[in-house]
Amino acid sequence: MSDELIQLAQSHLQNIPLQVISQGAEAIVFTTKTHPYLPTSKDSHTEYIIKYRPPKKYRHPQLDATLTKHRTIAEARLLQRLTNIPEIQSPGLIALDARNGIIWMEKVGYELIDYDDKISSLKNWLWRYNDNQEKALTEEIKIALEKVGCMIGKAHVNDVIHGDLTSSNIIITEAQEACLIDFGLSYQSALPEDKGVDLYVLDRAILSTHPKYAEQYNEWLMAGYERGYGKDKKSLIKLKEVLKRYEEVRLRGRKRSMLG
Amino acid sequence: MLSVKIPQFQQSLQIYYFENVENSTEIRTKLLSGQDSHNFAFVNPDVIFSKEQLLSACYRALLDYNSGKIRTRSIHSEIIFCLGSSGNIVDSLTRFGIKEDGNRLIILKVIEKEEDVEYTIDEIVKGDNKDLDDALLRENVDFKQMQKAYKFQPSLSNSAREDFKETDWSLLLRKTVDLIQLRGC
Repeated sequence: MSDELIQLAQSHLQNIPLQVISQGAEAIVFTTKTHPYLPTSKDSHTEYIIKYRPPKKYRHPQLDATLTKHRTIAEARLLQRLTNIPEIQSPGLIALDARNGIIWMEKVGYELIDYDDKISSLKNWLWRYNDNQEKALTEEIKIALEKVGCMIGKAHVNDVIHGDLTSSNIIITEAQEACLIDFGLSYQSALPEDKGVDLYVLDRAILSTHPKYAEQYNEWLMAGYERGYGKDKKSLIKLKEVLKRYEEVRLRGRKRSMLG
Repeated sequence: MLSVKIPQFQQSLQIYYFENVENSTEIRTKLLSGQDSHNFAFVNPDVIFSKEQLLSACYRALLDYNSGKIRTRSIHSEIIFCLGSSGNIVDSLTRFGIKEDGNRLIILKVIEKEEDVEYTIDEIVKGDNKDLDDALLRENVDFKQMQKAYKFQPSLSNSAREDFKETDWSLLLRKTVDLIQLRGC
């Protein structure tokens, strides 16, 4: 099944060496050292990300083509939107082949040498210290989590909803800055409801991925989130609305109605 | 001359940069009359500040070309069209194509097969053949024309090229690549 998809991706990406790094229901993600159009030197270590949305056989082919194209474009558009908000770190868009469901982007993060060379997602970055309470609750981690929260706050001030805030979709860069990735479920919205749900998803994700320290981690994230709104009066009013809604969402869960 | 092979496609590119060009008017007239000898993309360097910007457009043009989706007459005009951020072909060809009074020129040639190279660039352009280099492009780029072509937010017209730092250039490049890749989407 997976081999078939890789072959299909390869047929659209001839002469590009592909290495799978993640596969979800919607897309398969590759890395490569070959830039789509810039001459690359042989000993370059820079890697690029290719996100490929393969055709879904269970959908009508025409509908499938339209959906794939639209979702690919929506994600690329969001990357563009984030380029224009320089305070939010995000991977840059390199190339787009919407017809074939392919997005090329910059690779962010680095390999954690003290954690099996795994990618420096917030999840792995925190998990390194899971068995050591002293290390798991240091100032370094507090600062990083506040930065993460701050960045999410800035996204929300700009009405960008990530849609899938898990600790795997947040990258800690080598400079210990936060960077958001995977905008496959992202959209724009000014509604406190959507922002509240976004925060709730993050809260749940931290609780299930880092249960030992979730309470403290979430507290730091929220402190950063509030800072992300800045000191502007209008933003602070917005922040208050979101926090109020967030409390409501926490009480009732992610879905607004009990139907479906 | 810069020779570039885009890995995904069988075609390759040859790119030239000329200064002190004397015969822009002549080139333009021959190009407009559709002479076979002038089957190149003649680009106005006033709106080009990076090789990456050029190649990003070439990638998009070749992608559309190889899937039979080009909107202009040839791969060369498609490259110029793809440099722009608007869906208006005439508009992009005017802004990014050769200027009648221009004394600098970027010339691109798409080579289908290596053995098919059958032209001498000096027979077409009268000027000084230089290396295509980002520093040189940045030094001469025209922010007013860039702003008109890409409609950046915030506007570039209020910035001075001399004050631009490396981070400003790279942000500008990211914005430009976004616009090129997402045109018409």
